[in-house]
Amino acid sequence: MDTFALLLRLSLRNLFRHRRRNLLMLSALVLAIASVVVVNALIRGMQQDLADSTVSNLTGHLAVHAPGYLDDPSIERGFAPENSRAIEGIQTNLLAGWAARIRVPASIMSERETRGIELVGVDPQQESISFLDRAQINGEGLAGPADKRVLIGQELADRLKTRVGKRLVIITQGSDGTNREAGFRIAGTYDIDAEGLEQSVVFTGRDYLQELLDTELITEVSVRLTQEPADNTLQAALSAQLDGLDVQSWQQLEPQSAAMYAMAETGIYIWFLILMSALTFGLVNTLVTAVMERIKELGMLRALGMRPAQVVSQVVLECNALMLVGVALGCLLGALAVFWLRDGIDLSQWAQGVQGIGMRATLTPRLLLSDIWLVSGMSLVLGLLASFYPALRAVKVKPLEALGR
Amino acid sequence: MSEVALENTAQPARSRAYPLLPLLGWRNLWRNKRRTWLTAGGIAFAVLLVAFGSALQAGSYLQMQALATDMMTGHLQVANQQYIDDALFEATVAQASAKQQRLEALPGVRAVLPRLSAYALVSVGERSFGAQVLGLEVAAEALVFNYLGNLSAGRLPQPAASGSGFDNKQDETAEVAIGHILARNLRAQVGDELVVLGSGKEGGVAALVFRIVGLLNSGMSELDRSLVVAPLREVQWGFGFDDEVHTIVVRGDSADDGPELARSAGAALHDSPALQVRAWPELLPDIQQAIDIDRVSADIMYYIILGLVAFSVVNSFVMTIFERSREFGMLRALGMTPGQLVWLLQWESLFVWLLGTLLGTGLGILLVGWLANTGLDLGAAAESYSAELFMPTELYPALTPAAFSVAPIVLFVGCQLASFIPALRLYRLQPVAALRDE
Repeated sequence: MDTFALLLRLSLRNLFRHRRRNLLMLSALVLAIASVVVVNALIRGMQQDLADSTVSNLTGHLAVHAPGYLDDPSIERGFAPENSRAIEGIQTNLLAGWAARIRVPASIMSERETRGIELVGVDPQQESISFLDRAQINGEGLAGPADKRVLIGQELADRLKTRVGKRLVIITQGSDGTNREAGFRIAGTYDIDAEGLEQSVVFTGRDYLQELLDTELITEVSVRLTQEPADNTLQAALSAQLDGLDVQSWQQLEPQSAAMYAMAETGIYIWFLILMSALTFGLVNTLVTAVMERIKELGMLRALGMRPAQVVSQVVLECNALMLVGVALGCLLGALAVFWLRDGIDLSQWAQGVQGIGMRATLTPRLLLSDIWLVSGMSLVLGLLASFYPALRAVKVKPLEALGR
Repeated sequence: MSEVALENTAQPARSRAYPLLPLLGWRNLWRNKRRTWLTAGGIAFAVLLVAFGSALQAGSYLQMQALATDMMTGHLQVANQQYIDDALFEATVAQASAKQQRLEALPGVRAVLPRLSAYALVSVGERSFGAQVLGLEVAAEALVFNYLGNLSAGRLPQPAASGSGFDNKQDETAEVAIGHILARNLRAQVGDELVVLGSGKEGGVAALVFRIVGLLNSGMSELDRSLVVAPLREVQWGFGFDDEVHTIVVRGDSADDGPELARSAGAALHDSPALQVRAWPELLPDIQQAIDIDRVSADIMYYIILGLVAFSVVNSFVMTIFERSREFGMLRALGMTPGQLVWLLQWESLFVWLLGTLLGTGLGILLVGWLANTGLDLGAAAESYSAELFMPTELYPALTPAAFSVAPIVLFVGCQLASFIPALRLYRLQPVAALRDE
């Protein structure tokens, strides 16, 4: 008979000799792995939220600007709209859409109040890539790039003590650096999760804004992808096409969000390590006991010719058989829990707190197959490490002494 | 193997001097040193982890509160109810100086700072932007709050030597400092003239001219983009206010005292029913909520860890009781009742818990004590978001009693239950059968 099969059978039988304690150990394993899976899925959900809200906050996955625009956002640092054609020349199936915009700082005045805002000239058809697509709009949205009205945030409307249909005055700088002042009627107000944006971003038609600023240029092209790109080849390709313009990813444009994203990633490993270390004490305890109570038996097996390496593999197999079942059941339980939480966890009690770090009021867990593999792999490695000491103890058994006990 | 038990039961005289069951339990622990240490180790690990984690949390919350309130909010603010609800420009705190003095007299108050705030259009040359003009006691404010602490150029504005810079006859223009991003947008530099256009208290036009003497770099882009800071008197005068302000900001000793201080401030101002006193958790709900959600999620994790460790303690006692059925059979045969055996195991689990807790707490105090002095560097990543999210770049854990009591208490209950439940088996133990058992 194949030695491995024999060892495996021995290990499995040993496990079944002590059903009660191995079941206890197994339930601890299952609980630990299930909670790792759930926490993992929650962290992925958080990351998704974070990336989504950053990307749809007018940033996009990639954004094209003229050099110096980010330091001095004025129409004087614009570029020709023809540049956006380069995006269509890029060979990719990841492209979800792109939008050419003008974004300039401006002042807005109602009859009662004055505020500083960011005036964004858009083609509403292209804005399916930004939060405008999802926003709840009260009144009307913008009709097209030539629309001479504005769409403002609900929060800003409240602060300006104004409403849909009223008029506002906006002052900004034209392409020659001098002030342009124009009256706008409020087409509608938008309502989104992020109050900061609602207070500061005001949309109007791009063509009309160009007319007002006396320019043909745009200041930004934002590119939305269908998913996070695996590497930056797309960015490099676009950069090569757009000579003289800066192409930056959202991670470069919003380093804060990128740092939070990376921190959440670390959280996955920390949580795994902590939980599994807590578990290891119990695991080693059980395994050592299993070895110690079989000293006589192990001594006999050694006397009958079992080699030390085989003794070691028997203990290791025993541990990993337990681990394997634990991983399988734990992942299953975790997946069930994630399924149960599929509608998301309501965090609205802490809405402002979570929005402050770029999350939504509902946290929806995301279970990734790659994470299941990651958890399983790490758990099995841990099982190997945990069986090391008990196995070492088993090898130390001297056949004669053990038999004489 | 069972000498211990024999010796003790044989000498009832000694058992009076040394309580029998605890002594027996303690000795039993050392019959299987490895298991005792592994079980105690698991407990110690959980105690250490929870203590260290809670201490880090407590420390980071204290730091977050301090960073957030010291930026510009303070520990409490007094304002007119209508100003809070509707941002009504004319809803001010009247006779501000008198109220300021009354607040300064309260015990525990370190600084009382009046502020007047107006939104206006500010221009330099041809360029104009909307801005928030803050009238302040600039020098006093800079001592307390960090948003004025860093200038990218120039200095902070000073009040004019003789009354308001606007109504004295000499050629002296009032001074302002503006946010550095606002300055960039305005293409303004130190020394330029800044024209402020807004509406005054009575609804008329307020037009003021200032000279820019400094550029603020607070690290908060929203402030740096919109803030104009000027001496209080000039703003009061320019916008048509008397001895009035919009908010009075109070700073006490620590953010923790905020709510308490708010109560005594409310009592001190009880004769002005139009005024509302709010402590910082109300003023910065996002900070308070971020702390709350962090606390809740960490608590869930701690309980999962404690649950896992409790599982391994149960397992340890299941193994103990299973292995020692022969010994228990003998003790029963010698006259011990099942109840006494259960008590014996209760003592054993108490000692394991004590070992683990002492070890974990000891290591925890060492670790936290060490880090409370040196701080835990969060690295370069933390710096990019620390300013805006009020997160510290270096964590100083706080040695709080709560951090060191939760895990021991939970595990104490867990350990006693862990030895009690499997011990119930002992009531069904047949001494004769158990003795025959190998």
